[in-house]
Amino acid sequence: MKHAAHSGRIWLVFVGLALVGFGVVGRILYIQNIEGDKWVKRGEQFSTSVRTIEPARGQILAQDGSLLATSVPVYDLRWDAKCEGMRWDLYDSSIDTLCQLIASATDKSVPYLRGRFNNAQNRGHRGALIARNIPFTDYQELRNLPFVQLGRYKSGLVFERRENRRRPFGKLAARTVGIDREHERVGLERAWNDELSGVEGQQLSRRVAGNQWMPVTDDYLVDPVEGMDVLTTLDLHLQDVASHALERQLRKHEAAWGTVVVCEVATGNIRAIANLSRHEVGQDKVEYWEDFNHAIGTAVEPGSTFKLASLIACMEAGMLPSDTVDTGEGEIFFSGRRMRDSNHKDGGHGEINLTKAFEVSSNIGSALAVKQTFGDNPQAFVDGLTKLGVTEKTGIRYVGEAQPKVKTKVNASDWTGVTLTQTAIGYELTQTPLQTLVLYNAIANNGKMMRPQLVRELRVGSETLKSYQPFVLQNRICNATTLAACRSMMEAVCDPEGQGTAKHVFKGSPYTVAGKTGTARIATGNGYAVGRYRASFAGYFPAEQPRYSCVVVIADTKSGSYYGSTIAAPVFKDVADLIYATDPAFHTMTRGQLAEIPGMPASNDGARHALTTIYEAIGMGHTQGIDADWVTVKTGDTEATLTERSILESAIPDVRGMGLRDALYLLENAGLHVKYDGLGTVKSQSIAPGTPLRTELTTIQLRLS
Amino acid sequence: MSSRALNILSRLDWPTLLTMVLLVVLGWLNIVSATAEAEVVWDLGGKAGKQLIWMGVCSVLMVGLLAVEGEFYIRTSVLHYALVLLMLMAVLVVGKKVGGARSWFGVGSFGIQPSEFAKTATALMLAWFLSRDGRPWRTMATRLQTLALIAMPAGLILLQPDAGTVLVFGGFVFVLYREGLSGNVLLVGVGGIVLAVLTILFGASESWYPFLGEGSGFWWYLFALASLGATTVAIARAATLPRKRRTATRWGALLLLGGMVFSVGLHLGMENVLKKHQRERIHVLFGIDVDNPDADYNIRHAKAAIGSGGWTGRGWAQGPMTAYGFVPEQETDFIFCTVGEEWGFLGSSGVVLLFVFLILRVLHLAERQRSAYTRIYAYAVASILFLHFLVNVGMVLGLAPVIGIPLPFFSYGGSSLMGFTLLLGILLRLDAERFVVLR
Repeated sequence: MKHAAHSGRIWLVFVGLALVGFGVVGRILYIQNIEGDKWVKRGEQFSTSVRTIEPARGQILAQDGSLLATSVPVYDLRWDAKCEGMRWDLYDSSIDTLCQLIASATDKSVPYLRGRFNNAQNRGHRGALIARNIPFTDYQELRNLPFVQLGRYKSGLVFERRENRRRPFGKLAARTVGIDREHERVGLERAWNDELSGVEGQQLSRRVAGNQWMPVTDDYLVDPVEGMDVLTTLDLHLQDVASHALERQLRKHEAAWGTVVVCEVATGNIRAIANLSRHEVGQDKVEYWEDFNHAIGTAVEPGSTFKLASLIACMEAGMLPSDTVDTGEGEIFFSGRRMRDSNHKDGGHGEINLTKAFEVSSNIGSALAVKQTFGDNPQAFVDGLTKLGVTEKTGIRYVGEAQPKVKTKVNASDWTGVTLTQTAIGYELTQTPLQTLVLYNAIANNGKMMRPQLVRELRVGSETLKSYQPFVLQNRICNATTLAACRSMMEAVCDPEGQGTAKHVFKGSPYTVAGKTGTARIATGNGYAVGRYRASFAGYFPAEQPRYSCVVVIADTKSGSYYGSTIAAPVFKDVADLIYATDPAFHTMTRGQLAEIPGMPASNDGARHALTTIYEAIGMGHTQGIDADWVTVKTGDTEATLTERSILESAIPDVRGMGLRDALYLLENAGLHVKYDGLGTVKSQSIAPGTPLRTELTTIQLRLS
Repeated sequence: MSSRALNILSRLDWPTLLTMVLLVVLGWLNIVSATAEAEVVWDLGGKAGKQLIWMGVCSVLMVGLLAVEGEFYIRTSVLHYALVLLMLMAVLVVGKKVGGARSWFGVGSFGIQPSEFAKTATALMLAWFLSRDGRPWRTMATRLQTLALIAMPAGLILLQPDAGTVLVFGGFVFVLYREGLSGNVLLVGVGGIVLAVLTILFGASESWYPFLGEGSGFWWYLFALASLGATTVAIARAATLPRKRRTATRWGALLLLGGMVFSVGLHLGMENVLKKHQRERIHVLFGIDVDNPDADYNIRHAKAAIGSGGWTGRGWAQGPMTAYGFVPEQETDFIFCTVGEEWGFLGSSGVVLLFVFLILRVLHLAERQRSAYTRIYAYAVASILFLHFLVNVGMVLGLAPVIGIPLPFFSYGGSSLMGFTLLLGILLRLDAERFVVLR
């Protein structure tokens, strides 16, 4: 009985086991051969794929080759707290060092980073973001840690590489250079994106541990083409001065925004373009930075600077500079609308000729000139303006140039009884500052109108692929008589001896300027706002042989001062002063004046050899017989006194008073990583001189002034 | 001594031993491939190298095991069992925590996992206890004692926690079945599994209820279970002889009620006690869609590895899925993926057949014994191997939940290899003595 029952059970067990075996084999068969293709595909998807190779984005360079925008690799660090192969023993022993290294590479503190790790561990986060934007050099340092070397599966640390776009010169021409972001690029980054971005390559890659991809072969399916470098026409030095002069003026007068554009007369190349807008940052604190390209993108009523265009139209139609208009007592009504001159309280200008009307910026004078010339045929006036090109975009290659709006059809419904006279003085129409500049530049360039350009060349490495020649929009915008008249009228505006609106501005300048001021009222939704103005100045210099043209627009000052002559023209002067001081072309004319500069040139502390070489070259006296490599300099009335400065190899050197170049040479030779801010000579250093060099001292901060 | 040794060699069941050796060698080849350490094997520093050391240790162990008289194992059964219980208790206190479970004694860079030895010790203890007299199931006391012998180590292992090994202890039910446990117990077990599967499937579905609106399909299932069950009980009642009717009705009602309570308990447990990721893992197993793409990560990659093998596989150390480490734990619990990818259908079927052959051979050994001790022990060995094989391969093929237990002789791991060597070595010695002693 028992035996029989048991043998039955044995058979049951045997059969059951055999069935399980068959079941398992059947399942394998099913997965491999029925679903096989699906899983093979899955497997290949996991392991190989055509990967896009992102080409390096080109750089944007100033005309001297300085980097305005460049791509640098940065790394984001993530951590998988539930990584299967985690070496917790190594984690515990390395976490402090790891956090310290990350902290020195980023602006995060060690406790903060520890908190990130702990938090991720407590929550079992599988991809916790620990730090962003770790620079390449720090990344390499991190890779040397034994814990990091364990790799993604044993440390849980994942570094993600990104290209970060940097503007080494910060806010200098920031908006013009632009922003490179996936959506909505701006500035040159956008306008020249096709050239900058290059061509994506394709490469057959396979996945390796850690979700990284490795090329299967060295060949590309599609070769990636690196982005081209865009060499701009911008002059960094000039840009710096323009930007600072503008900011100083904006701060002084609490203006809403301002812009300066400096253009090379003969070529139309833009040498500087600054756009600053006011930003309230916290209580009573105001900062100006670039956030919109007003020069190119903001079309506003130009006001008086447009009178140049009006008068050219008049003169081209036969009016002479000596022809007179009666401006009366400074107040007149056109179709019931009042127009005033700035001196209407002092009785006006009376009967004046065209030159005078321009010089004193008489609204009534310009309006009457246009009305006298074109009263019967207003269409001829706007046709004249159209011929001057002021109704069209400049066509600069830049995304977002605003369309000028000038009423060009007298039959149109928007043409009213005052449109003719308003247009004559720069109202009822809009223009961008750059469009204004183009006309002034044309006058400076003997009537030849140039298209403004921001880009001179496309390069790959040091090889020029394409260079952009100056582009002529119009060979002659007016006849020679008109041109000569315009130039002398504009010179009169700026003549320190004359009566012009800008006569005070250029008093004492060693160069001559021609230009025109403008003070336009700011239009709001309902009429013109009381007490809100846009000050402008457009012109060129030197007046006899124009080399540079420049436009300045400053909007909405709050200081109570608002005239083009007091607000905008000084910025022009600062720019012109700099060009005059640095451009060798001017110094052939003025060599004799150099000797008259009183006193001796001051010099930084630094390398003795370099200093004495210069002193001898310029014939300046200096202390003899010192053979130390490094010296401290005291500039006296007759000579420079040099004293020895000892630089020890085992201690932090004293670099205060030195220029950045010497300071960098000394500190980097000492193995330090140098960070600095400011310009000029070193004022202070974060590690005291004489501190013994130790390995944990890695970074020194310099403040320059 | 020498005559005894000769005696052993001639009496040894060579097919079992050779199958085991074959499995160990094949396993090692796959470990080399899975750890991508083909170049560093001979340094002995990597996993493949370490496994080689363990294989050497186990060869010595096997020789030792075969050299010891069988009587020794029988007489020390209780001692082994007690020792293992002590170790299991100790590991809970001083053990090293690995992957959330406290199941290891750390010895340098090597670790010892007492639960691997607990299986062997429990098998020895069970054999000793049940073989004391021929009729173990006569008294309720014996049954309860037997249950306690299995439950004690299992309970301690559950505290680590190591659910996979506990599941293996469930395999002892086959031993008890062979020794006289009522088949009804197995039937109830199978019934429970069926109810559990239905509960999970319906529980995860959405359904509509009159007056109540949308809700879990579980309650429809419960309703159907109650009505069908009641009908079945009624029919069974009508079909039985009047004098047995009362008993039949009682048992039927009890089973039905038990099934319903079990289902409700399981459903509520699934919904309220299990964490989301645990629930998702179970749902994935039953092919229920889950929102979380990571939930079936292991299984998806495991299947992709096996599926891409095809008929003949990609060849040793040629499988990209294996080489780049997509399959987690691929040298231990998921080693069968590597077999599938690199050796294809033929290779993996071969491995399955080797296991089936080994288990059948052990059962064959069991049935040829005159000694009850050896028979019971052999059944225990077969059950343990079977459960390991079933759960491990089932998991890799997406048939069983992801429960981490090693594939015997195949997976990387010293404790596991030693545990199985002990298990089989003792059996081989006992089997070799089957004509020598009558116990």
